[in-house]
Amino acid sequence: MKPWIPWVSLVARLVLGGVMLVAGALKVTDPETAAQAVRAYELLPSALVEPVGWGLPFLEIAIGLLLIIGFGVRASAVAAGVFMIVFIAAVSSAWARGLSIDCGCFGGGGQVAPGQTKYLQEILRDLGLLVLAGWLWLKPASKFAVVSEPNTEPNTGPQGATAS
Amino acid sequence: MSKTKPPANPLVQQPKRRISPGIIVVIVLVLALGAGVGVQYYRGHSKVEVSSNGRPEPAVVTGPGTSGKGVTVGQSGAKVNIDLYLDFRCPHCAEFEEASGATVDKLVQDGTATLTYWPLQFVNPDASPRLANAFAAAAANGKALSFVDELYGDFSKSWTTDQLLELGKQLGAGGATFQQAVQDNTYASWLESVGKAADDRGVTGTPTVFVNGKQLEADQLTAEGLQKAVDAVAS
Repeated sequence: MKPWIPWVSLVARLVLGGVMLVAGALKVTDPETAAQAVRAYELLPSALVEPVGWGLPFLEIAIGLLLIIGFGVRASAVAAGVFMIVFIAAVSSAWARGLSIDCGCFGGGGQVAPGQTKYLQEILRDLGLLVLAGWLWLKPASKFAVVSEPNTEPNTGPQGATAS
Repeated sequence: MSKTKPPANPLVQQPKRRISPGIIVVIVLVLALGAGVGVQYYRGHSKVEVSSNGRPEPAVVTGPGTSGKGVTVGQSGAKVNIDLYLDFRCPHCAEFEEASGATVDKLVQDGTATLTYWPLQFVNPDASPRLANAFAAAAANGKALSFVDELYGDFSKSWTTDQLLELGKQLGAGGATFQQAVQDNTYASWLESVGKAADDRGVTGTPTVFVNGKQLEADQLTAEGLQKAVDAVAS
């Protein structure tokens, strides 16, 4: 393995995990607003809006923490990637249907003035994060992770216990 | 079978003994959701504590129930009237209340202005109508302003019917008529008439504020902006 790859993976972990953690933490304290942001997408039946509104931030925080400490990076990256795909799909659908909403990614959300939408930035940001998640899925082994990935651990194999 | 296997290096942890991190990640996510459920339960069952700051309660001039008219509090004869279109589950209303509540209270208290509440019920189709009805029930028992203060003051609370009944009790509005009105959704048709009046006036969102019939712009929805608008009319 090239020596710089674990460092890139470390940066990817911290950026993706940091964004997830911050996004979750900003919403978790205000479940009513988060539910309102979900409702503004007009995608889910009202019975599902509330659970998604208050449940999503907890999942984001959990995934963010797992990525930052470096535990189960490959699985966490898959979870984060699934979230990004869902977010991109939801924002795109809001854009395509001509809604004027804020994505509510970092708290807030709901209706905004028609000229105030930022759909393109929101989608590009999530695409960038999706790329990071994809990278971590391919190269989960990284520096300063509490648990190294099985099978991808650079130290396993013939060289065994050689110091690194 | 394993005769050909090389001897295990004792310094390398045996991968077989590990639980796959993937499974642990799933467990962590389930636990996180469990924490979410716990918080949700807490929101619906947390104790109601009136944070009352001892502000005097303005008199209710026009109570709920008059079709197409909001609830007005203050001293009749004030030169200024503030119309406030609000929804009890609207985050921006809670922010507006936090930023300008004290200013509004003062204007009402010193007789400069009367305040008319127009409770709308569209933000949260489940909770908004229930809270608007409870507000009407509290206003009918003379506790409009402090009821609004408390609902917005603990915005993240679910405000279940039980919590609303407890709030009414603690505010001193929780008599039999209040309880009945909350449980029977007594003010539903009045709330509809309020919603229709708001539509007719072109109110499309909350919070919307009019000072003597003149709508405030979005950037005026601050304590300062409101004070200036009132001063402009009162002087």
